[in-house]
Amino acid sequence: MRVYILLTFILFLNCRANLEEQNFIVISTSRDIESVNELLGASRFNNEIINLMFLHLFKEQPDFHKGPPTLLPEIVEVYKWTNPKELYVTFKKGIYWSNGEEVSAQDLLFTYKAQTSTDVGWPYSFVKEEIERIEIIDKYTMKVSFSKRYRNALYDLNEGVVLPSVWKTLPFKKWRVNGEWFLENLVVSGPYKIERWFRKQEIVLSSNSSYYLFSKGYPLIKKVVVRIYPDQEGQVNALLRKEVDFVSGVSPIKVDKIIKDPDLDIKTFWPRQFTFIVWNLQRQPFDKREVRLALTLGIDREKLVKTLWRGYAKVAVSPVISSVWAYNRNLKPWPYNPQMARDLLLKIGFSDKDGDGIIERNGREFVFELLTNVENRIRRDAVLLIKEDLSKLGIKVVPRFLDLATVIDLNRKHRFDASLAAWGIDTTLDFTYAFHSKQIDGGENYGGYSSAEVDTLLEKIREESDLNKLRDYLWKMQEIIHYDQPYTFLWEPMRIVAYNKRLKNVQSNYLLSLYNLHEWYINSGR
Amino acid sequence: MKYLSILAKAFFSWLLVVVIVSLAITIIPGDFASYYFSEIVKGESLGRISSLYSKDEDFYTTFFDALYTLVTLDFGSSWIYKEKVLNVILDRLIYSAIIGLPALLVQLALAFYLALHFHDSKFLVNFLILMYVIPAFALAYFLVAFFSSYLNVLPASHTSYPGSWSVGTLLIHSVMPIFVLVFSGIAYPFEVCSETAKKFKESEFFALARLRGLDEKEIYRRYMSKHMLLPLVHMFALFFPAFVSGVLVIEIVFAWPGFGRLTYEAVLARDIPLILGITEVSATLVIVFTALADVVHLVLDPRLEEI
Repeated sequence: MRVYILLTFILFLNCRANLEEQNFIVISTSRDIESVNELLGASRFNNEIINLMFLHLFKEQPDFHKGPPTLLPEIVEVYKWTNPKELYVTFKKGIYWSNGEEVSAQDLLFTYKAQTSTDVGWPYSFVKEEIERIEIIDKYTMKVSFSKRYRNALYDLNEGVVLPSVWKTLPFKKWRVNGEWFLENLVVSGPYKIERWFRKQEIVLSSNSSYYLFSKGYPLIKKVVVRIYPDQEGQVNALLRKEVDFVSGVSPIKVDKIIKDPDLDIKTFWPRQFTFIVWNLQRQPFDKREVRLALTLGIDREKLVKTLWRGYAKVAVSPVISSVWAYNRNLKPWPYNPQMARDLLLKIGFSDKDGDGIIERNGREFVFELLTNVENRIRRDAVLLIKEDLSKLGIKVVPRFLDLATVIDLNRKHRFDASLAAWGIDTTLDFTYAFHSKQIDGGENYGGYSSAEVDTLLEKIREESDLNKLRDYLWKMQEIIHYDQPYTFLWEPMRIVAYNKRLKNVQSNYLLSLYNLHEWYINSGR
Repeated sequence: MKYLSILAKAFFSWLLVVVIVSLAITIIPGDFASYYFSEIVKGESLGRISSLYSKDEDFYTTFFDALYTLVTLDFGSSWIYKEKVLNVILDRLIYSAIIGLPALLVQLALAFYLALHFHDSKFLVNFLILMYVIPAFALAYFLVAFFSSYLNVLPASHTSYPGSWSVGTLLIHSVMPIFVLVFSGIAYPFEVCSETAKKFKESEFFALARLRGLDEKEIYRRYMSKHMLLPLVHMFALFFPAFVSGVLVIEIVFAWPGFGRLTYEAVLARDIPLILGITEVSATLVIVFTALADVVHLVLDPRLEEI
């Protein structure tokens, strides 16, 4: 009897409102944010939430496929170059912080100081290196001096949100040890503020009434609950149960299940990423171009894209991904051609003389370890499929799965044969870190690739301001890397977001999956 | 004398834990900055940030630092959370305890009750062992699929409904995690209690009581239960740290903000101050409760003093 009473009690308590009647939306993510202060966080999702609460000088537009991205003024009203190294910036009047103070030149100066402070340790601080100083002319105007003339000046200035200067009451030295202070003293300028943050559970965002578009009705959805689901499975199930409206990252194998539901839909876009295998050129036999090329030819990359990504990816060709304006359209991915691979290997002396199924040269069998991080299921599966492909060439692959921190450590110290990893690329299109010979020691040139021609090209790419010349250099660099194959480029992944169709005007892009959250609205007419 | 040896044992276990942790920290490959900022920072700029989050490569320095933090309880700030390590840990310990403590009590009470009355049941033993063998996450997924997706009577995850919080909802949300915790491990205490029960029934005491004409159920209730309490108290003390320090799988499936997830995260990210804090706090829990179990045993069973 008592059991029944308990059950009814549970059932009674559980009479919850379903999504249709709620006046707020629920967004799910797999990872919690780290800090409400941009300079103290590092993850992608942290960036998403920061961008809902703070404004940039300019709003970057998602048009990287056409050329360097457009910057639309946001806090800035006008800007003027008086000479190639000096920029005058004037702020809009009437943009307020949530504590009632107006956004002013003081805030930008404070932000710059915080961003470059070694005590704060902002990971991105290097982008501010070329900014020599910022001087305040009047409340809304300031002069920015750069140490040289270069094409990324405006992007570098725009990197990072503008922080409220009231945060100066906490000395920089204490920032990294008092993260909770910023939540207690949260002052925002963007469409949303954090009402409640319950670690590893949820973040409740409510509209900020001092947002400069608030009088025009933005944000349209006044309350947003972000829930943290550590488990991918749980996230998608919650979407299917209609407990969640928007999932910011869905695995391709779940797509079928989602689009079968008439209330749900997906959106896709190309995040600026590519996955590759880096060969350790400091070890034999990967120092030979023919070997690397044979390995590329021997891996069925179309199959990887089809099976692991269900087609939500494409074969990568070069470090400049195909959705970026500077991608060299003349390059074609190396085909899957095991016969050609076998011939190449035979030509440089690899053959199976002892008949054990593994080819050898000078008595040394072609066996190598393929390293990747164990947390990533798709990469793990890819390693196994590649092992299968290469065994047909008589090459034995030994999979090695370790945790990410260890993998990065081994990569940086060149203690691997081959390593499956990924890079994200940014607006600067600077690939010095990965391919310049100076970056072999202490940098990210994991494989130890060194080409004098690529070195000079990379240096030119850094300095060039003429877009046509820049394109030529980037095309040439891609050609050489495509020929040399220090990497086997595997795939460019697609990102999939899924959402409930009651949400309208969802525009997710490679910059942010919540790019225009303030313009989303709920379709109540159903 | 006995008490002194318990104290000495605890102290040495403590020292041993600190030695092992310090050793692990010095030899663990990888560092915080290159993992944590791997999506953003490349090349030379990484070196500059790494210096802000560096660990001692030297064993002795790490060891004495670890000892010092343990004595002063000042673990510093977590690198991921930018907050005091102790606050971060306590925050999560509470949530692990919210499901861990009731689960432990229910598990032991249920094991006790079942063993008292059904210690001879072959079916029950096999059933409980089956529960033990099924991985906790599988049981959890099954419960979610049945109670949340199909029947829609219990919430599938988290500690509350979106955007709201109350004690009532917290209770509802803890039902399934507690259920999984109770049943995935109940076989062991049940076995221990049943063994005690069976031994008791073989004893002369039991035969005598029967001869006196007492009813079997009456003997169970009045005498045997007292015998079974001793291992129960011991198990409570031994299991307590394990239940409170969280179960990663359950916390992930039910999106519960517990201690297990914190530990996993700290180790992956090489957040050294947090790792140090977590290991020292959980080691302390284990050591203190083991010592406590020994003491309780001594108090309840004076015969041990003679040995």
